[in-house]
Amino acid sequence: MSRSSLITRVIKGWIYAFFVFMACVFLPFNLSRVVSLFAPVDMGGSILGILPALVNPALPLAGIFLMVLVFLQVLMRNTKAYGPVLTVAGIGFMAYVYLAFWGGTIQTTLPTDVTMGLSTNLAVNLTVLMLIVMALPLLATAKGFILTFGAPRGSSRRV
Amino acid sequence: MKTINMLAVLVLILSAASVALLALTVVQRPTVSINDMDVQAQNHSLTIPVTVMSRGPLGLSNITVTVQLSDVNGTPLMQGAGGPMSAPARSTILFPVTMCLSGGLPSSVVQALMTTDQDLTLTSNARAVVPPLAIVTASITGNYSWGAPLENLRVGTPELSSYSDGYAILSVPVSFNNHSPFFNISGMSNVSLSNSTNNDVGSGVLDINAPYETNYSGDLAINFTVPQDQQNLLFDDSNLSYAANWQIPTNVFELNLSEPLIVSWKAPISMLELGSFSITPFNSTQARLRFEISFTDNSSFLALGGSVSGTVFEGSNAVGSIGAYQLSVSPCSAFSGTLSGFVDDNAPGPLIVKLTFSTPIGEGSQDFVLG
Repeated sequence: MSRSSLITRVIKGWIYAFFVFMACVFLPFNLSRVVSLFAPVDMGGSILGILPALVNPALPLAGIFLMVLVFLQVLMRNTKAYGPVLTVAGIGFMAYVYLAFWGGTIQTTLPTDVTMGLSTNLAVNLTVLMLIVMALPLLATAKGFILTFGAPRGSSRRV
Repeated sequence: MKTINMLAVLVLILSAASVALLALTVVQRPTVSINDMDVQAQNHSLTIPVTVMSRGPLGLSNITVTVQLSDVNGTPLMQGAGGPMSAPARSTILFPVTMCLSGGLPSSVVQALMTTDQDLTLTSNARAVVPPLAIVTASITGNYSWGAPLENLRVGTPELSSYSDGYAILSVPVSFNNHSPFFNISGMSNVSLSNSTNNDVGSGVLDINAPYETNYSGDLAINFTVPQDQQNLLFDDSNLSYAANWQIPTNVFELNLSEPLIVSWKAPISMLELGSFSITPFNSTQARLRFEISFTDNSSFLALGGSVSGTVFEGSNAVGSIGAYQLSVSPCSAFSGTLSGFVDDNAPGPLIVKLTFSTPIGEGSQDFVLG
């Protein structure tokens, strides 16, 4: 790999890592503020107030881990290490999705000012949506496996 | 590898679209509202129309609800359910939830529910599907302030009046507050009066018109069978205990209530006394006996008729008799009169006079010692 190519990859890796940071670390931390920018006026402050409770506390740490993996993924592209890194990144993203969806069911208690004074426990089963979102990192994991273990003998591969 | 890349693009589009649709549905969240004024109460049930408005791009399907109202002791009083129904995207549906009184409730619990405002515990479970992405379940608890249809039911002090042929009119003041937004109390209420041995001793009808959230007061007239042949009621004031059994018509179901009723009985022969007496020779074998009696007719409605007569005893031997004296005493008035008869001349004494009253409400006697 030439020096200019390496520098390009490093810059590209940081940019991609930054996007992962914004999506996987910054957004969970500031979910209420971000949602309030797009939510309708009649969505009360109390509804926005419960959003932080819906964020799994492990997400920011997992997001930082993903940042590193994405950086390495860009850096290692077209190298022998790309397959394993892609596999680990795919598994990491699947784990992140699993954590974000709390395993498929998100539970919370709604504020009484929006439920006519009644205590309301809400459980939302998002397993189907979680599996749809998990499909992409699953494909990445499969690709990483194929790259690591599945390249046929005699076939040329760019390094 | 190309296949995987293509699949990845498709999955990415599908994921983004799914998340966006669901997010839009959440942001333009469905609303649920209930209008108390539209609750239908009839045929032993309450039907609560719930309005569900689906404003987002995804509709709701298989909406089901179960509801239960319990009292402070946790006894389930009313149970209901609604669904399954569906609300297509950007639509409004009317979702009826029908609630019925729980079966097998003790009459005391039903009576408390009908006559006492109370805080009930509302528990509800709801479920809806946002196809194909989400299933939402909610469990709800809270307090519901129950307004009783016969709150503060007061049965006032009954008064007897208008005696005729063994019957009197028992006038009972009745009042209550209809605090319920569901129960409309309107129609003829049948009342029966029963004594301690569960025998009917009277009946009456009360015309009630007490719509939702109004107050009612009125007078119930019961055709009352005056107790017959009870000696103690001739001479002693007494509190007679009865049970008033009500059938109250409402738009939901007929209420059956039982309330205690105490009738204050005033004796028609009260404070009976023998005054001064004299025994004078009449002939060779008999002497004439004269004495005064007095009493008060304490009853406010019963004019005392009939007669009083007597027998004179010395020990266990009858030694003389007192002639019948016709009585006519107005209610709430005093009586005094002189009775006379004959007694054996050689009766050494002391003499006992047994006075026997024969009245329209029965017979009774009392003994007095002369001298």
